[in-house]
Amino acid sequence: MDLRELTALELGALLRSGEVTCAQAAAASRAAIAAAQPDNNAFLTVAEGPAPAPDLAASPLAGVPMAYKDNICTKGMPTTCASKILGNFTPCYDAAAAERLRRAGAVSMGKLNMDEFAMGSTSETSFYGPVKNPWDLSRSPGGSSGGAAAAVAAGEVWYAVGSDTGGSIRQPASHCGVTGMKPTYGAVSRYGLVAYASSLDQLGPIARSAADCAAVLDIMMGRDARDPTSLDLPAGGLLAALTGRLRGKKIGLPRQCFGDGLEDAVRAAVLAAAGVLKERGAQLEWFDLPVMSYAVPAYYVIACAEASSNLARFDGVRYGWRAEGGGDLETLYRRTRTEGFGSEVRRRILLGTFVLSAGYYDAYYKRALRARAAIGQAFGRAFQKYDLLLTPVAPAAAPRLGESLSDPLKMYLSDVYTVPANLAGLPALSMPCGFDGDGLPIGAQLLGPAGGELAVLDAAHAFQQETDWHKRRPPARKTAERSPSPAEPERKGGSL
Amino acid sequence: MKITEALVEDTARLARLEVPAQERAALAAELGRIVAYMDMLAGLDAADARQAGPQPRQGDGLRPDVPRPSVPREALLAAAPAVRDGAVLVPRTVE
Repeated sequence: MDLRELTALELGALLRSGEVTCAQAAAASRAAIAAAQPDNNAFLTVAEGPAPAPDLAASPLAGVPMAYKDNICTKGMPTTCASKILGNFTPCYDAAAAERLRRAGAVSMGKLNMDEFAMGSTSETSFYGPVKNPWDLSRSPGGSSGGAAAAVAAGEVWYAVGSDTGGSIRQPASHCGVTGMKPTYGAVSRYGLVAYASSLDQLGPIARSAADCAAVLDIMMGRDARDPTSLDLPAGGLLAALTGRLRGKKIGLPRQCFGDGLEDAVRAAVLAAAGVLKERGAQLEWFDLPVMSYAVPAYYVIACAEASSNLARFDGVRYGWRAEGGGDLETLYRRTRTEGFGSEVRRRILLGTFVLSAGYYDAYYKRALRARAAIGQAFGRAFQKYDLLLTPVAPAAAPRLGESLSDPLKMYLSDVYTVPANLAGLPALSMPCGFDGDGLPIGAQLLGPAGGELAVLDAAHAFQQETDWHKRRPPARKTAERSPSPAEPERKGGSL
Repeated sequence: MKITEALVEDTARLARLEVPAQERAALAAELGRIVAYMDMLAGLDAADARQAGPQPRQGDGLRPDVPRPSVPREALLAAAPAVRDGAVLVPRTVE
């Protein structure tokens, strides 16, 4: 039996029945990582030594190998945010989500590559080299959780935990042909997630099916006093409540998400997905959401503003990397930050500092907050009429490596379908729904009202009962086909 | 909104970043393009839109003001780039 063909829940069931041992599952994961890493560079740190034996009764996912995006603090394991400035940082505590998963018997195989500080849409801004898409190694896996999506797609782990500030779970999930979900803002504690934009960041799963995502969220969701934005939503029960029934559900399709700029293959695949949902009994209706056009500028003003504040803490004093060469304290700060951050992070800090500075605050930051409120209210009106919304995840399938970084504004614009859910704090899921002419995966996005995780997951579950897009796997590559691994800076922590 | 080299220099100072003089013109042009796109926010008539976060807060969001165990001091110091005698080292700030 090839364990890599199983979903996380299927593997969990075999572990509980004794047909597969935890050691066998971990060995399969290690072998897959060793085979794929030279190609896709998905991992930054691989856990060393055998994992503690999990309590297999702790959850349906106990004993199943998984991994964390490298901006999630893990006690005793490096957490670099794919940045030089945190290259030597090992947290002395676990993120709340990692605590919960550990108690639920999760077996962590390590930490996953990403865009530096989650700032990027292609996983190319990592200081430790770009992640490559398992479907086509000349392509980006998307970002910023590109390592997470690539590792799940390549069968290295059965699920991963990522973060989503403007689409960073959903877009790479779409580009890699796996399922990813950003829950309602506040549903999962952000304690221990290295902050990029605190009012937008949210942790969530990337897995092989909506049911797997439900099982991960059952573990991660719940109130945590250490995160003041954490919500007291009902925790658990999502997996048990999946029915796959869609009859009578109303799904809205915003016209503005299917217009100019959307590639034909993506439009066709998402509309075909709409057809499947209709056949399962959903009622579909087009509607207008004109405020969508303000989402990208509002998002980048707010995200950069918050980033400029959050990343002020990285100054070479209390943790992380410090520039050498002496000078006074201000010089130490400036040199550490200038040499420690990559160009995209510096660009966003500058933009954020600009929009918050005297004379520009009202023209940019305040207007962006108003646009955000208007977007939230427009979604509120939409969800008075519809149970769910359906949109593309990205305008096109995965871009070629190197195409996006030369034009940052173009890269920002590709987030057009994903940032609205973050601005409005809504749950949203990306599910595979087809391939383009180059054989690259395409994803469809389902959005629900705040607290509507179950409705979103159940619709995706219904879709995945009718289709097998989520079961497709990238072709295994022969050793001779492999490209040389990129020259990478020295890494701390576990070996690869 | 025109982004000038002087504005880039001033913003970098506020952000505690250095932008070499030879890179300022290109960066100003690049940021100018992005900021020009952000300028479209001026076209949104959202004066009546209530400014709000992503979702309503539950309660005041604050935990009880009572002492509780924290991370050991030694563990925190272990992460610092330079430490001496139980303190984080920084360049001299007072002569």
